Amino acid sequence: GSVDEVQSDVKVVEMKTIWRSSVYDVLLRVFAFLLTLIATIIVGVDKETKIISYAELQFKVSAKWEYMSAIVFFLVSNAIGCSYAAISMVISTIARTSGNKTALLMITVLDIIIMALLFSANGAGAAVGVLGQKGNSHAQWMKVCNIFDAYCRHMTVALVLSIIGSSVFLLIVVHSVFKLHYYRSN
Amino acid sequence: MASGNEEQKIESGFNVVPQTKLPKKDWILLSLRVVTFFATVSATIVMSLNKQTKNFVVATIGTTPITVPLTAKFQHTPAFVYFVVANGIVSLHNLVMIAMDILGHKFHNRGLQLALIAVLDTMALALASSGDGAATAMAELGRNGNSHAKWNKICDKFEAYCNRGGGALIASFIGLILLLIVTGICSPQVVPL
Repeated sequence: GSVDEVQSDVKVVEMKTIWRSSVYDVLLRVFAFLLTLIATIIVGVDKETKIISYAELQFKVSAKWEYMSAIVFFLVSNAIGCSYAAISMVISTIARTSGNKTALLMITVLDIIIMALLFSANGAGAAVGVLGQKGNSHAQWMKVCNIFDAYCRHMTVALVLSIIGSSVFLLIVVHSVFKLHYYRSN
Repeated sequence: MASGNEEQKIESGFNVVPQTKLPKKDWILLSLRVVTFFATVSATIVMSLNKQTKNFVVATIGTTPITVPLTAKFQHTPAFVYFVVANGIVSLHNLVMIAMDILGHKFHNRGLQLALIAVLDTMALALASSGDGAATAMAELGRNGNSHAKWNKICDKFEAYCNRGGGALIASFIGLILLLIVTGICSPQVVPL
């Protein structure tokens, strides 16, 4: 009778909500994957070599990610975030549609950890970037971006992309916490 | 009746995992938050008071050496300034959360409160981790320098400054790990499905 109808209606509503939340979740993870991927590629591939002439000597100087530990950390973290986004896309969809609560819990916890890692890499990259742009007169550290201007520009792009990617990870965690549709209490 | 329960579950709003209120779990959470608060506050204070002045011999005229006092302050480095600000904000967040934990049990919408707490915790975690990352990068550069950029290390000259900064950093890392644990406990309480 009417009890059965209400139960089946509830089932339909639940399925729709699960589907929608999976779609949003996968969409966010795709964004995070793409952003961290591009940031990783830019940092990993970028290299600039300049020849500086001083007095009558010529020095060949180059800028590459290997030369600064903060950038190495940035690259590794973005690579980890990128692969995690790819893997978790699959696992989270499976867990959501099968209703596996422990898997969803694990994924949320991992999301939080990876988000923290990415944000710390962003902080390190920003710190080094500011140092490269302005130097530090108190420590007698000269800026390097006047020489390696193209490299600095590419790094800035990679940093911005990574920051957006980390924010997307934050949105993924927030989305897991808030179910953004029907079940909102007034 | 079964259908009645389902309707009740929908109307309660957020699908909160039914928690039989274990006071023990709440006490653990509260004590974690208190320790986190102390960790981030000490990091903020130690770093903001970090200053060292030292006399350096610049030249020697005859027999008298000319000394110039050089100061290392945390304000000289934007990364450390950001570190202090971030840890300050996170300490404030922890304080608010502790107050909410103690006083918030009369809040009507428990689901919304938990969700808000989880979201704010996540944002605080993002802030704290970025502050830590920036400060660690600066500290590493200060300790090891960077030959490619011709940045000399400064920790051999300003040892006390570096050690205190390192201490603040360690305190901040402890706060970060605890904040991670707290967020990890709080967020999954509002589980989707």
